[in-house]
Amino acid sequence: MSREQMTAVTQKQGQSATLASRRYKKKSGFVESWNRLKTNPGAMFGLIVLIIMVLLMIYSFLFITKDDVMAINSGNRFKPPSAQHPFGTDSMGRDLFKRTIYGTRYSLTVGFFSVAFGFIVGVFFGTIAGYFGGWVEEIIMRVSDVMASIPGMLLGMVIVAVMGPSFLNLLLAIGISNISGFVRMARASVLSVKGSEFVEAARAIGMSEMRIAFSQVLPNSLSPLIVTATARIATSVLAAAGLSFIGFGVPVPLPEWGALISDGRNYLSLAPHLTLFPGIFIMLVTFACSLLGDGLRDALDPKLKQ
Amino acid sequence: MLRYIVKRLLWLIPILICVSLIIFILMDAAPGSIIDTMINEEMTQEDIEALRRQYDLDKSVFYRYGKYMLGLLRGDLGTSQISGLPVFDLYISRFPKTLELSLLSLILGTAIAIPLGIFAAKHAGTIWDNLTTAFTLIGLSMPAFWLGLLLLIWFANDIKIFPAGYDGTWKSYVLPVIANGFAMSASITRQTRSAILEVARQDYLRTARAKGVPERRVTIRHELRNAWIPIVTQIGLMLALTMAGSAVIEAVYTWPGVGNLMIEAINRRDTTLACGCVIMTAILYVVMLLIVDIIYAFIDPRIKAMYSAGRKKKRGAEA
Amino acid sequence: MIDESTTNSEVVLEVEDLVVHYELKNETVKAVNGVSFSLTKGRSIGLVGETGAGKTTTALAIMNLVPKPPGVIKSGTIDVCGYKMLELKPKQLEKIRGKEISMIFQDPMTSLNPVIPVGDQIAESVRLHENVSASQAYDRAVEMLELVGIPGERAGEYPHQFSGGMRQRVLIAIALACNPRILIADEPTTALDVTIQAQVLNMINDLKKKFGTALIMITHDLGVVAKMCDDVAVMYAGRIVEKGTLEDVFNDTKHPYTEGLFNSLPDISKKGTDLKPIPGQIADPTRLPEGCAFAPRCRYATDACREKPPTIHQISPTHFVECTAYDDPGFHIEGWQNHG
Repeated sequence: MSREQMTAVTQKQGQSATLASRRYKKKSGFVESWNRLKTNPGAMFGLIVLIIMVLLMIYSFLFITKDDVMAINSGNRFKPPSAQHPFGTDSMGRDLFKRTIYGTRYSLTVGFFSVAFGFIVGVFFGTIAGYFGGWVEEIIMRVSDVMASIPGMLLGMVIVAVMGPSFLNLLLAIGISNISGFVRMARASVLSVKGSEFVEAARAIGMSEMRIAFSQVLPNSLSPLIVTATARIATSVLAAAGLSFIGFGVPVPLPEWGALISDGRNYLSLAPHLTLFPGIFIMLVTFACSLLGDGLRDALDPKLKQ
Repeated sequence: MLRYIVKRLLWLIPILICVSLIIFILMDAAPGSIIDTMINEEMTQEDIEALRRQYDLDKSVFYRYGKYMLGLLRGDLGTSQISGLPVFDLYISRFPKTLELSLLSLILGTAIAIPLGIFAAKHAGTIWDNLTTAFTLIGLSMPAFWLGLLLLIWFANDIKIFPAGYDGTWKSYVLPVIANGFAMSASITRQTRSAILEVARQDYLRTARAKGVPERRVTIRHELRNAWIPIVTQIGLMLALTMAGSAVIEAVYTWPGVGNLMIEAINRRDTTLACGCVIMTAILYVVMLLIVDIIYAFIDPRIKAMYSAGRKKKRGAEA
Repeated sequence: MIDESTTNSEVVLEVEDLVVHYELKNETVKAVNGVSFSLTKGRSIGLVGETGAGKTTTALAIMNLVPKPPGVIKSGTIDVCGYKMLELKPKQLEKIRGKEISMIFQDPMTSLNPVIPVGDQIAESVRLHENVSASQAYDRAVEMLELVGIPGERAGEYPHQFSGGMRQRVLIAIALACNPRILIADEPTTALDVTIQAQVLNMINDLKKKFGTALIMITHDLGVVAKMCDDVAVMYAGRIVEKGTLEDVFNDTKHPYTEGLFNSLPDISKKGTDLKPIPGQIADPTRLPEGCAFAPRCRYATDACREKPPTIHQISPTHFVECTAYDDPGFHIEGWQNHG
């Protein structure tokens, strides 16, 4: 072989080696990031709070029946917090503590699944848009723009207005409003990584374009997406609570936290505890997600840290 | 620059059409129709058919949509079924209250956020910075409506200094503005802090100092001049979001704004009014976002150039 | 060290025993450990060394721009055209920077303010230091742009509209706008394409001749030194290990590190032979040894070298070397094999 051919071959081999070592590095990168995350007290606090919330949700599945939560007990109305009813009772005599714990399932599921939905759909189309460009990109981005033009709350109200309040509708509405953000982010990430050498190397060894897009380009753009997803859980929970508060979220008797606050709205001076406790729970979950999100951002990309 | 504005305005039209079309179709597709309440036992089949024709129910949804949008251009969005008043007029009459609330909250929020953000940035890494971060996180986590209710409990019920809802006096503005402004200030503070920190480590500041630029001028002409770009964009976005999502805070304070109007309309199944409100709000939101984008392009020459060159993208941070 | 090359002409820069440390949370980086040199009007000196040798810190210290938390100037004096840079107050320093002494940095892509047109950035310097009106300053800015080979009409454009090489030229225009006596160029071409490098260096040379500016050229590239510099100072671990005129250092190389630098240059006429890098790793500035910092990598090192700080030997009125091995009058290095 001539010198030029030898150089060409060794260069490509070098690039594939880089490719392989990059994949390898990703695994240990995960461990490193976790270690960095562990040192962040805020993020750990957030993580623990979220784990507690999930445990409470599991507890509610095992030990709290629908009856506990729905049964009306007129003799017991508006009792302030006591040993028997740690959070007091509401306007129908129901135990607020049980109702609030039961409510974890709504907020946590909405938070998680609406973001998961937006993430999967958004990242999929955003990656395709960024990677393939051309008219594909144009169409996807225009559609995404239209979706971004309808604010989440508004969409929620419309969907509920049309299809009636239901948990699924709420999840769908918030999920849809999460999509455009991820489309945009995924596309931007892909665009910045698209020209890299390891993509060229993958092409050189004959990988199909689709496969390159999802197995090479995407994993490297994952960090900011994960951080955004965590932050989005917080905003989704808030949106769900807000919509339920004005009656456009879960159907009335369900003890979602926003709905619980709405229950308490008419009895502010009589029974302030009805407003207080569910709100604290909302705050805890969103606070925990924000802390975790911040911590993840610092842990996954330490050079961003100030 | 002008080319960019014109281009965006042209794009505005298809987007508005899509958005309003989606909303219209959704609401039109809702079970039941506008004539249900008008039908009574005495009507014959012919009468019902005539009624259907009168409301264009025999034509396609697109026909109805077209007629509707043309009406919008004339300022006619139909008549509210409950009150009998024109939808457009109802919306416009309630709009100022929502605008006032949003603007005042924004002013309050910004007035708190920017000095706080600068402070946190200058003391980055110290306990003051951590406290500020904790404060902003709490502000972001606290549902505005919940804070609104808490304020009601404390100030309107226990210590009766402020009224519990709109009553025409300036006092009634205080609590809702605080509730709304607090949440806004949290996100603007964060943006301010990170924008300043990001700019402070840039190389061109070093160039400026090497030129002999006095420190004060470095801060104002070089640091802030760059840092304010994402901050202003964020403020604009917050305003757009607050206006579009005002329904919730208006519900807490029974505020006579468009948000409450929307809620009432939907609850009472006044489809014409509901549809009108939602579409107007959506249009408003899109227009505000466009204004934010244009301002952004105006103050950042890099974006100006990027858009003049022909491609689109990169709005500022999303809430 | 009394440097005879400067006694007859006007000295514009005098650095004496400069020591600069960066005090971090867990360790102290001893970036500069006793650097002394001087510069005469119109001459140029090359500060050569690998990354981490302390060249940039020295340059920043001369402008008194070392970032002051972590950075600490432990000792030394710096005299720029009579001004004692390390003793002046900020307001006084601001008057000197840009006017008597200027600096251009390594990365042109990030060194310009992105939201201000380039013409204004040049004019800003003029307005600060000279008593002229805004429009006169702008005219001067346009002149400077033409001087660096950029059409004057482009003065209203923003940095992102220029390529890397052109941005570096804008930075040169800014630096020279007020005709400073000294220009410090910190690796100005490292971030640029090879073809552009030559252009920029030629331009610096032309302007230097035209304005009579003294130049400190910081680089790790010996080729650049050969092209641009009258004098050379080779730095290692924060000290100048060899100093002299270009001929002294290139033709009569004395220090083993300098020899190593020359030896590590690939020679295209010697295809097939191995490259000869300097063995070992560059000294860790947080853990410098007692004796000569280069001793661990030096093939001539003796015990004396490792035990005490190296002795300074004067080879000629212009040529100095810091190397204990020369205590032995018969000692000489082998010389680098790529002569010619």
